Amino acid sequence: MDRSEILELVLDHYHNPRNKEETPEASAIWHGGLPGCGDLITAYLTVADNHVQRATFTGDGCTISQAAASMLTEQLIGQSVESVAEMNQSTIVELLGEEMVQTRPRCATLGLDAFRAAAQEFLRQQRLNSTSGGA
Amino acid sequence: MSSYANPGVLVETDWLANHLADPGLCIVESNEDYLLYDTGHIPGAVKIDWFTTLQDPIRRDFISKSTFEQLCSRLGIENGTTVIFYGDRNNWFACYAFWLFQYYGHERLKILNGGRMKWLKENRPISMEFPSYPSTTYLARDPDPSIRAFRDQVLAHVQKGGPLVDVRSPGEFSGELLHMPNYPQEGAMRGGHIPGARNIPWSQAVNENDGTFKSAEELRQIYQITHGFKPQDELIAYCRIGERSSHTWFVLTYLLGFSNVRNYDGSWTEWGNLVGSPIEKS
Repeated sequence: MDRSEILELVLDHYHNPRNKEETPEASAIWHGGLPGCGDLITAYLTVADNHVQRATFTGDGCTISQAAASMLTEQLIGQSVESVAEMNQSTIVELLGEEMVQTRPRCATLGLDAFRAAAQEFLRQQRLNSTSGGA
Repeated sequence: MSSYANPGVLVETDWLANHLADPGLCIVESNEDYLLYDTGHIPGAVKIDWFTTLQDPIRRDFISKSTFEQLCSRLGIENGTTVIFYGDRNNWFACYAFWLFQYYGHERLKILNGGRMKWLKENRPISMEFPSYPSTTYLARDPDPSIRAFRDQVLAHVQKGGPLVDVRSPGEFSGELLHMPNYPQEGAMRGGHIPGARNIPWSQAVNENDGTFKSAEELRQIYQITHGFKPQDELIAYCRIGERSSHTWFVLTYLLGFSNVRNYDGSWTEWGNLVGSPIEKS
Protein backbone atom coordinates (compact mmCIF):
# COMPACT_ATOMS: atom_id res chain seq x y z
CA MET A 1 0.00 0.00 0.00
CA ASP A 2 1.18 3.51 -0.64
CA ARG A 3 1.06 6.28 1.95
CA SER A 4 -2.37 7.57 1.01
CA GLU A 5 -3.89 4.08 1.13
CA ILE A 6 -2.37 3.45 4.54
CA LEU A 7 -3.61 6.82 5.73
CA GLU A 8 -7.11 6.05 4.48
CA LEU A 9 -7.06 2.68 6.24
CA VAL A 10 -5.77 4.18 9.49
CA LEU A 11 -8.41 6.89 9.48
CA ASP A 12 -11.11 4.33 8.74
CA HIS A 13 -10.04 2.28 11.76
CA TYR A 14 -9.97 5.43 13.85
CA HIS A 15 -13.46 6.50 12.83
CA ASN A 16 -14.88 2.95 12.80
CA PRO A 17 -12.85 0.97 15.30
CA ARG A 18 -13.15 -2.81 15.10
CA ASN A 19 -13.51 -4.93 18.21
CA LYS A 20 -13.59 -1.93 20.50
CA GLU A 21 -15.38 -3.26 23.55
CA GLU A 22 -14.71 -4.58 27.00
CA THR A 23 -14.43 -8.31 27.45
CA PRO A 24 -14.52 -8.74 31.23
CA GLU A 25 -14.43 -12.54 30.94
CA ALA A 26 -11.28 -12.48 28.76
CA SER A 27 -8.45 -14.89 29.52
CA ALA A 28 -6.02 -12.00 29.96
CA ILE A 29 -6.45 -8.26 30.33
CA TRP A 30 -3.68 -5.68 30.20
CA HIS A 31 -3.79 -1.93 30.72
CA GLY A 32 -1.28 0.12 28.75
CA GLY A 33 -0.65 3.82 28.44
CA LEU A 34 1.74 6.53 27.36
CA PRO A 35 2.82 9.52 29.38
CA GLY A 36 3.85 11.62 26.38
CA CYS A 37 0.41 11.97 24.90
CA GLY A 38 -2.03 10.37 27.30
CA ASP A 39 -3.01 7.45 25.09
CA LEU A 40 -4.63 4.58 26.92
CA ILE A 41 -5.32 1.05 25.71
CA THR A 42 -6.75 -1.90 27.58
CA ALA A 43 -6.24 -5.18 25.72
CA TYR A 44 -8.54 -8.16 26.21
CA LEU A 45 -7.42 -11.56 24.92
CA THR A 46 -9.72 -14.54 24.93
CA VAL A 47 -7.81 -17.76 24.46
CA ALA A 48 -9.02 -21.26 23.55
CA ASP A 49 -6.69 -24.20 22.87
CA ASN A 50 -3.77 -21.85 23.21
CA HIS A 51 -4.95 -19.72 20.30
CA VAL A 52 -6.53 -16.29 20.28
CA GLN A 53 -10.25 -16.68 19.88
CA ARG A 54 -11.12 -13.04 20.42
CA ALA A 55 -9.18 -9.82 20.78
CA THR A 56 -10.86 -6.61 21.84
CA PHE A 57 -9.70 -3.31 23.23
CA THR A 58 -10.91 -0.17 24.91
CA GLY A 59 -9.07 3.07 25.12
CA ASP A 60 -8.75 6.69 24.40
CA GLY A 61 -6.12 8.77 22.71
CA CYS A 62 -4.66 9.87 19.46
CA THR A 63 -5.57 8.68 16.00
CA ILE A 64 -2.57 6.42 15.54
CA SER A 65 -2.76 4.63 18.89
CA GLN A 66 -6.45 3.86 18.60
CA ALA A 67 -6.36 2.89 14.92
CA ALA A 68 -3.33 0.66 15.39
CA ALA A 69 -5.01 -1.19 18.26
CA SER A 70 -8.12 -1.70 16.13
CA MET A 71 -6.08 -2.99 13.19
CA LEU A 72 -4.17 -5.33 15.44
CA THR A 73 -7.29 -6.98 16.86
CA GLU A 74 -8.12 -8.25 13.37
CA GLN A 75 -4.64 -9.71 12.97
CA LEU A 76 -4.56 -11.62 16.23
CA ILE A 77 -7.50 -13.94 15.72
CA GLY A 78 -6.30 -17.51 15.33
CA GLN A 79 -2.70 -16.82 16.29
CA SER A 80 -1.04 -18.89 18.99
CA VAL A 81 -0.60 -17.14 22.30
CA GLU A 82 3.13 -17.78 22.07
CA SER A 83 3.37 -15.92 18.78
CA VAL A 84 1.39 -12.99 20.19
CA ALA A 85 3.71 -12.96 23.21
CA GLU A 86 6.67 -12.72 20.85
CA MET A 87 5.35 -10.00 18.55
CA ASN A 88 7.76 -7.20 17.80
CA GLN A 89 7.64 -3.84 16.06
CA SER A 90 7.68 -5.44 12.62
CA THR A 91 4.08 -6.57 13.20
CA ILE A 92 2.92 -2.99 13.49
CA VAL A 93 5.20 -1.77 10.68
CA GLU A 94 3.47 -4.25 8.38
CA LEU A 95 0.10 -2.75 9.32
CA LEU A 96 0.93 0.95 9.44
CA GLY A 97 3.98 1.27 7.25
CA GLU A 98 7.40 2.38 8.37
CA GLU A 99 6.82 6.11 8.05
CA MET A 100 3.77 6.17 10.31
CA VAL A 101 5.51 4.07 12.96
CA GLN A 102 8.59 6.28 12.90
CA THR A 103 6.42 9.36 13.27
CA ARG A 104 4.91 8.30 16.60
CA PRO A 105 6.60 5.01 17.52
CA ARG A 106 5.21 4.80 21.02
CA CYS A 107 1.64 5.63 19.95
CA ALA A 108 1.87 3.12 17.10
CA THR A 109 3.12 0.31 19.31
CA LEU A 110 0.95 0.95 22.36
CA GLY A 111 -1.68 -1.62 21.30
CA LEU A 112 1.02 -4.08 20.31
CA ASP A 113 2.67 -3.71 23.71
CA ALA A 114 -0.65 -4.17 25.51
CA PHE A 115 -1.67 -7.29 23.57
CA ARG A 116 1.82 -8.76 23.86
CA ALA A 117 1.82 -8.11 27.60
CA ALA A 118 -1.64 -9.70 27.88
CA ALA A 119 -0.37 -12.81 26.08
CA GLN A 120 2.72 -12.94 28.27
CA GLU A 121 0.57 -12.61 31.37
CA PHE A 122 -1.66 -15.43 30.12
CA LEU A 123 1.38 -17.69 29.64
CA ARG A 124 2.75 -16.72 33.05
CA GLN A 125 -0.53 -17.63 34.74
CA GLN A 126 -0.59 -20.86 32.77
CA ARG A 127 2.88 -21.77 34.02
CA LEU A 128 1.96 -20.88 37.59
CA ASN A 129 -1.14 -23.03 37.40
CA SER A 130 0.77 -25.95 35.97
CA THR A 131 3.53 -25.79 38.61
CA SER A 132 0.96 -25.44 41.40
CA GLY A 133 -1.04 -28.34 39.99
CA GLY A 134 -3.99 -26.14 39.10
CA ALA A 135 -6.08 -26.37 35.98
CA MET B 1 -13.88 45.53 31.44
CA SER B 2 -10.16 46.02 30.79
CA SER B 3 -8.70 44.37 27.74
CA TYR B 4 -5.73 42.16 27.10
CA ALA B 5 -2.32 43.82 26.92
CA ASN B 6 -1.99 42.75 23.25
CA PRO B 7 -5.51 41.99 22.02
CA GLY B 8 -4.31 41.81 18.42
CA VAL B 9 -2.49 38.58 19.11
CA LEU B 10 -5.77 36.70 19.21
CA VAL B 11 -8.14 36.11 16.34
CA GLU B 12 -11.68 34.90 16.85
CA THR B 13 -13.26 32.10 14.86
CA ASP B 14 -15.79 34.53 13.35
CA TRP B 15 -13.02 36.72 12.03
CA LEU B 16 -11.00 33.85 10.63
CA ALA B 17 -14.03 32.36 8.89
CA ASN B 18 -14.35 35.59 6.95
CA HIS B 19 -10.66 35.93 6.12
CA LEU B 20 -9.66 32.42 5.09
CA ALA B 21 -8.49 33.49 1.66
CA ASP B 22 -6.76 36.71 2.70
CA PRO B 23 -3.36 37.14 1.10
CA GLY B 24 -0.55 37.45 3.57
CA LEU B 25 -2.10 34.96 5.99
CA CYS B 26 -0.89 31.47 6.75
CA ILE B 27 -3.07 29.27 8.94
CA VAL B 28 -1.15 26.57 10.77
CA GLU B 29 -2.64 23.61 12.62
CA SER B 30 -0.41 22.18 15.32
CA ASN B 31 -1.73 19.28 17.36
CA GLU B 32 -0.67 16.71 19.83
CA ASP B 33 -2.47 14.10 17.71
CA TYR B 34 -0.33 13.55 14.63
CA LEU B 35 -3.16 12.59 12.26
CA LEU B 36 -5.87 14.93 13.48
CA TYR B 37 -5.12 17.42 10.71
CA ASP B 38 -5.57 14.58 8.21
CA THR B 39 -9.11 13.96 9.49
CA GLY B 40 -10.06 17.48 8.37
CA HIS B 41 -8.77 20.99 9.04
CA ILE B 42 -9.60 24.63 8.54
CA PRO B 43 -9.65 25.28 4.78
CA GLY B 44 -6.27 26.39 3.56
CA ALA B 45 -4.45 25.43 6.76
CA VAL B 46 -1.09 23.70 6.68
CA LYS B 47 0.24 21.35 9.32
CA ILE B 48 3.21 21.76 11.62
CA ASP B 49 3.83 18.79 13.87
CA TRP B 50 5.49 19.63 17.17
CA PHE B 51 7.58 16.49 17.13
CA THR B 52 8.42 15.54 13.55
CA THR B 53 8.57 19.11 12.26
CA LEU B 54 9.88 21.21 15.11
CA GLN B 55 12.28 18.87 16.90
CA ASP B 56 15.78 18.01 15.83
CA PRO B 57 15.67 14.32 14.91
CA ILE B 58 18.86 13.44 16.79
CA ARG B 59 19.49 15.58 19.86
CA ARG B 60 16.91 16.96 22.26
CA ASP B 61 16.48 20.45 20.87
CA PHE B 62 14.48 22.36 18.36
CA ILE B 63 15.29 22.50 14.67
CA SER B 64 18.15 24.79 13.76
CA LYS B 65 17.74 28.26 12.32
CA SER B 66 18.49 27.00 8.82
CA THR B 67 15.98 24.13 9.12
CA PHE B 68 13.42 26.61 10.40
CA GLU B 69 14.08 28.77 7.37
CA GLN B 70 13.59 25.77 5.10
CA LEU B 71 10.34 24.90 6.88
CA CYS B 72 8.89 28.38 6.48
CA SER B 73 10.05 28.60 2.88
CA ARG B 74 8.45 25.23 2.08
CA LEU B 75 5.14 26.30 3.65
CA GLY B 76 5.08 29.51 1.66
CA ILE B 77 5.62 31.73 4.69
CA GLU B 78 7.36 35.02 4.04
CA ASN B 79 8.93 37.21 6.68
CA GLY B 80 5.91 39.51 6.55
CA THR B 81 3.27 36.77 6.61
CA THR B 82 0.78 36.75 9.46
CA VAL B 83 0.83 33.22 10.85
CA ILE B 84 -2.27 32.10 12.73
CA PHE B 85 -1.85 29.00 14.87
CA TYR B 86 -4.57 26.71 16.17
CA GLY B 87 -4.74 23.16 17.41
CA ASP B 88 -6.14 20.52 19.71
CA ARG B 89 -5.91 20.41 23.50
CA ASN B 90 -6.76 24.06 24.06
CA ASN B 91 -3.99 25.23 21.73
CA TRP B 92 -1.12 23.71 23.74
CA PHE B 93 0.96 22.96 20.68
CA ALA B 94 -0.33 25.99 18.82
CA CYS B 95 1.22 28.09 21.58
CA TYR B 96 4.32 25.89 21.48
CA ALA B 97 4.74 26.53 17.74
CA PHE B 98 3.95 30.22 18.27
CA TRP B 99 6.69 30.35 20.89
CA LEU B 100 9.22 28.73 18.56
CA PHE B 101 8.32 31.11 15.73
CA GLN B 102 8.85 33.94 18.18
CA TYR B 103 12.16 32.36 19.20
CA TYR B 104 13.31 32.63 15.58
CA GLY B 105 12.09 36.18 15.28
CA HIS B 106 8.88 35.96 13.26
CA GLU B 107 6.91 39.10 14.01
CA ARG B 108 3.35 38.58 12.89
CA LEU B 109 1.95 35.75 14.98
CA LYS B 110 -1.55 35.07 16.23
CA ILE B 111 -3.49 32.36 18.03
CA LEU B 112 -7.02 31.33 17.10
CA ASN B 113 -8.97 31.81 20.33
CA GLY B 114 -10.59 28.51 21.25
CA GLY B 115 -8.52 26.54 18.77
CA ARG B 116 -9.69 23.52 16.87
CA MET B 117 -12.35 22.62 19.43
CA LYS B 118 -14.23 25.90 19.09
CA TRP B 119 -14.02 25.85 15.30
CA LEU B 120 -15.57 22.38 15.21
CA LYS B 121 -18.15 23.13 17.89
CA GLU B 122 -19.39 26.00 15.77
CA ASN B 123 -19.74 23.67 12.79
CA ARG B 124 -17.47 25.77 10.66
CA PRO B 125 -16.10 24.43 7.39
CA ILE B 126 -13.56 21.63 7.43
CA SER B 127 -11.42 20.69 4.48
CA MET B 128 -9.81 17.46 3.37
CA GLU B 129 -7.69 19.23 0.80
CA PHE B 130 -4.02 19.48 1.59
CA PRO B 131 -2.88 22.82 0.24
CA SER B 132 0.55 23.75 -0.92
CA TYR B 133 1.76 27.27 -1.57
CA PRO B 134 4.56 28.70 -3.67
CA SER B 135 7.80 28.39 -1.78
CA THR B 136 9.55 31.46 -0.45
CA THR B 137 13.01 32.44 0.68
CA TYR B 138 12.50 32.90 4.39
CA LEU B 139 15.19 34.44 6.56
CA ALA B 140 15.00 33.74 10.28
CA ARG B 141 16.65 35.75 13.01
CA ASP B 142 19.08 34.32 15.49
CA PRO B 143 17.28 32.60 18.39
CA ASP B 144 15.92 34.99 21.00
CA PRO B 145 17.36 33.83 24.33
CA SER B 146 15.07 36.14 26.28
CA ILE B 147 12.09 33.78 25.96
CA ARG B 148 13.82 30.46 26.62
CA ALA B 149 15.35 29.15 29.83
CA PHE B 150 17.93 26.38 30.03
CA ARG B 151 18.51 24.22 33.10
CA ASP B 152 21.62 26.02 34.37
CA GLN B 153 19.79 29.32 34.08
CA VAL B 154 16.87 27.82 35.97
CA LEU B 155 19.22 26.61 38.70
CA ALA B 156 20.76 30.09 39.00
CA HIS B 157 17.24 31.54 39.08
CA VAL B 158 16.28 29.18 41.90
CA GLN B 159 19.41 30.03 43.86
CA LYS B 160 18.63 33.73 43.79
CA GLY B 161 15.00 33.11 44.76
CA GLY B 162 13.50 34.05 41.38
CA PRO B 163 9.82 33.39 40.73
CA LEU B 164 8.76 30.28 38.82
CA VAL B 165 5.36 29.09 37.73
CA ASP B 166 4.72 25.36 37.51
CA VAL B 167 1.71 24.94 35.24
CA ARG B 168 1.23 21.20 35.77
CA SER B 169 -1.59 19.65 37.74
CA PRO B 170 -1.51 19.85 41.56
CA GLY B 171 -0.69 16.13 41.80
CA GLU B 172 2.33 16.51 39.55
CA PHE B 173 3.42 19.60 41.47
CA SER B 174 3.18 17.90 44.85
CA GLY B 175 5.17 14.92 43.66
CA GLU B 176 2.30 12.52 44.13
CA LEU B 177 2.14 12.05 40.34
CA LEU B 178 4.84 12.05 37.69
CA HIS B 179 2.39 12.91 34.94
CA MET B 180 -1.04 14.40 34.43
CA PRO B 181 -3.92 12.87 36.41
CA ASN B 182 -5.26 9.71 34.78
CA TYR B 183 -2.12 9.43 32.64
CA PRO B 184 0.38 6.64 33.16
CA GLN B 185 2.97 7.46 35.76
CA GLU B 186 6.35 7.55 34.15
CA GLY B 187 8.64 9.97 32.36
CA ALA B 188 10.82 11.27 35.23
CA MET B 189 12.83 9.57 37.93
CA ARG B 190 11.61 11.94 40.62
CA GLY B 191 8.36 13.73 41.37
CA GLY B 192 7.85 17.16 42.87
CA HIS B 193 8.59 20.65 41.73
CA ILE B 194 11.43 23.13 41.32
CA PRO B 195 12.04 24.85 44.67
CA GLY B 196 10.13 28.08 45.05
CA ALA B 197 7.71 27.45 42.16
CA ARG B 198 4.06 28.46 42.48
CA ASN B 199 1.54 25.99 41.08
CA ILE B 200 -0.89 27.59 38.63
CA PRO B 201 -2.22 24.87 36.29
CA TRP B 202 -2.40 26.08 32.68
CA SER B 203 -6.10 25.17 32.59
CA GLN B 204 -6.94 28.04 34.94
CA ALA B 205 -6.37 30.39 32.00
CA VAL B 206 -9.08 28.95 29.75
CA ASN B 207 -12.84 28.73 29.72
CA GLU B 208 -13.78 25.08 29.94
CA ASN B 209 -16.81 25.30 27.67
CA ASP B 210 -15.12 26.55 24.51
CA GLY B 211 -11.38 26.62 25.20
CA THR B 212 -11.10 30.38 24.81
CA PHE B 213 -8.86 32.38 27.08
CA LYS B 214 -10.38 33.87 30.19
CA SER B 215 -10.89 37.62 30.31
CA ALA B 216 -8.04 39.95 31.21
CA GLU B 217 -9.64 40.65 34.57
CA GLU B 218 -9.96 36.97 35.38
CA LEU B 219 -6.37 36.34 34.34
CA ARG B 220 -5.11 39.25 36.42
CA GLN B 221 -7.03 37.91 39.39
CA ILE B 222 -5.29 34.55 39.04
CA TYR B 223 -1.71 35.51 38.27
CA GLN B 224 -1.33 38.94 39.81
CA ILE B 225 -3.75 39.11 42.72
CA THR B 226 -3.99 35.54 43.95
CA HIS B 227 -0.37 34.59 43.24
CA GLY B 228 1.23 38.01 43.43
CA PHE B 229 3.24 38.01 40.21
CA LYS B 230 4.09 41.41 38.80
CA PRO B 231 4.34 42.28 35.08
CA GLN B 232 8.02 43.15 35.41
CA ASP B 233 8.94 39.93 37.26
CA GLU B 234 11.66 37.77 35.76
CA LEU B 235 9.47 34.71 35.52
CA ILE B 236 10.16 31.17 34.34
CA ALA B 237 7.31 28.84 33.37
CA TYR B 238 7.63 25.08 33.07
CA CYS B 239 5.57 21.91 32.83
CA ARG B 240 6.60 18.42 31.71
CA ILE B 241 7.91 18.95 28.17
CA GLY B 242 7.28 22.65 27.61
CA GLU B 243 4.00 22.66 25.73
CA ARG B 244 1.63 23.52 28.58
CA SER B 245 4.09 26.14 29.79
CA SER B 246 4.14 27.67 26.28
CA HIS B 247 0.43 28.21 26.82
CA THR B 248 1.04 30.02 30.12
CA TRP B 249 4.00 31.90 28.62
CA PHE B 250 1.60 33.16 25.93
CA VAL B 251 -1.00 34.21 28.51
CA LEU B 252 1.48 36.07 30.68
CA THR B 253 3.42 37.70 27.85
CA TYR B 254 0.67 38.66 25.43
CA LEU B 255 -2.58 38.73 27.34
CA LEU B 256 -1.26 40.20 30.58
CA GLY B 257 1.73 42.09 29.19
CA PHE B 258 4.46 40.57 31.37
CA SER B 259 7.77 41.69 29.94
CA ASN B 260 10.22 39.04 31.07
CA VAL B 261 8.79 35.52 30.92
CA ARG B 262 10.85 32.57 29.77
CA ASN B 263 9.68 29.09 28.92
CA TYR B 264 11.80 26.28 30.35
CA ASP B 265 11.14 23.71 27.62
CA GLY B 266 13.38 21.11 29.25
CA SER B 267 10.79 21.20 32.02
CA TRP B 268 10.15 18.31 34.38
CA THR B 269 11.36 15.59 32.01
CA GLU B 270 14.77 17.24 32.34
CA TRP B 271 14.66 18.53 35.93
CA GLY B 272 13.13 15.38 37.39
CA ASN B 273 15.78 13.23 35.74
CA LEU B 274 18.75 15.50 36.44
CA VAL B 275 21.20 14.07 38.94
CA GLY B 276 21.47 16.31 41.97
CA SER B 277 18.85 18.88 40.97
CA PRO B 278 17.07 20.41 43.96
CA ILE B 279 13.46 19.31 44.29
CA GLU B 280 10.65 20.21 46.66
CA LYS B 281 7.65 18.07 47.45
CA SER B 282 4.48 19.34 49.09
